[in-house]
Amino acid sequence: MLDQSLIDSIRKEHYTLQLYREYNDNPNIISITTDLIKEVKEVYRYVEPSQFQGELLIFRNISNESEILERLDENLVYYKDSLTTIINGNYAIELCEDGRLYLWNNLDVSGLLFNDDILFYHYSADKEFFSINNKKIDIAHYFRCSSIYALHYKSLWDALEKYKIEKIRKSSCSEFSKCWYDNNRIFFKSGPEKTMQVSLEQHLKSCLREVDIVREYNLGASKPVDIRVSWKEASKAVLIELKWIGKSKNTSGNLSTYTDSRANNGAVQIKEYLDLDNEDTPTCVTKGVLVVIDGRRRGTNKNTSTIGRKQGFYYSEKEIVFKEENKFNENLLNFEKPLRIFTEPICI
Amino acid sequence: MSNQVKPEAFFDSISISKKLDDSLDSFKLTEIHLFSYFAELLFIYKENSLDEWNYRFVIDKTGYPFSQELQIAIDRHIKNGLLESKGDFFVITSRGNNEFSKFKNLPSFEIREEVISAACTTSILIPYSETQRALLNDPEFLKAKVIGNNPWIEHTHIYKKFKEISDAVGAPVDDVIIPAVTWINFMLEQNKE
Repeated sequence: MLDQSLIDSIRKEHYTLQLYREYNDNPNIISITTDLIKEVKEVYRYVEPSQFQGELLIFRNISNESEILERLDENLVYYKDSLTTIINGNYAIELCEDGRLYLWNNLDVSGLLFNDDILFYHYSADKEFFSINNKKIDIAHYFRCSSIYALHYKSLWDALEKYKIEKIRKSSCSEFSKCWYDNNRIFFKSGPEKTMQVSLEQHLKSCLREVDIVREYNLGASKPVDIRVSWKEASKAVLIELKWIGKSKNTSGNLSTYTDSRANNGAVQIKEYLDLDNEDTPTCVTKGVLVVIDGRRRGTNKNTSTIGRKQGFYYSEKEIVFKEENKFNENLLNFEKPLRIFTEPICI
Repeated sequence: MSNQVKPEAFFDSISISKKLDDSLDSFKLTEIHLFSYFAELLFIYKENSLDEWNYRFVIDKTGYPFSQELQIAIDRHIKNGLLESKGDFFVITSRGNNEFSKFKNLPSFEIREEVISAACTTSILIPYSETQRALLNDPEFLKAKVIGNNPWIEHTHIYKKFKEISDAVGAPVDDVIIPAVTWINFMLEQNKE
């Protein structure tokens, strides 16, 4: 016997089923919905919903009996690159049966939803729903995201999370493990940056579909960006600055210490890169993220060769302190929250 | 086992490649096996005999369903330039697209094409990562993993369960896409518990 609450949950999250019901059990709505979603995904190759402020309506007139918005030549979308100008405001996009797209702006988007026999997709402020015959059908979000149809950045954040848990936390990545000076992973080698970059580059290449990944990407700033990821089939990119904190030991046995201030410098660098990138690639939506590999250990000096759990894991839950003026992610939509990755020592 | 390519495996692998390329931009070879496995479930749901699928799956060491027959067909596609490697992923070539066009309307593959389309359409309607998570955490699949997967992944209760869920939510009888999404949602809901 099936649990009724389980069935209710499935029904609630099943927008295709709800659309089918609302469209008088007509199975044609399934392929119409699929086609509309393909177009929504296509639009989101050029528009990033997490940075869009306003209302976006994408619709398909099913009966084609009358135009709800007049299709003038000036509304026809010839080049999809022009969609990258959709940043804020109210827009409506019509997908015609022949595949043509028409775009209108500055209109009362919500007022259009009352039209019958039209399948609407509506996005506003991280919420999205379909509407048909005046019935609103929510689109369930399986995880935190602006739209389930624009998952480019989500795939990268997921890849970074996977890198954190599966590759770096226990130094399981063979490339990354070359960064350590000692077998107990107390000190990094001197200048491990390049090795860390290669490790992250390799990981991202194995996780992300249809991307170009460039190390040492030159934007004309004082330093090159550590890693730039851009999608081949979408006008989207991410600039990654990779920093490490902790202590490194050189071949003479001398230590260098890097602290929160280095992470703060990284945040400032990303802000500079994003400003430059805006001028360099204006049709590309670019986000920035700071990744900090945290190898801090407590109470070590150059003679330390072993470490106990208390000292070794002292910083495992201690977040980096960013100066107020460097908390760019709190004000800028294209600046992601920095990701700290604590890498564990081997303790006695 | 013979290295002869089975027609069904030949068709399924190129059809799935085409659809995954369209919806995900590129794909891993393990994903061809995964979606073929899902299509096989839908094939049974459509009241076809499992024997007619004409190849079966085991679970490989990465935890994905794997069919030797399908892999032989995939290897042949790569050798013939129908699929092309792009780093860790693959794409279908224009030659692969042409090859698929030649076979897609053959009556003998009609039902297969219907269930393959439905399986792959789930990656358009719901995030691919969720479809993947749902299928790889199917209790019957996990059970096969535990018992050492000998010799094939069984679908003992699948038809009954699938039918029961689809009927309960009110999925249309003639369609396969809504039941496919229903099955994925059911697996995800089960995993929440």
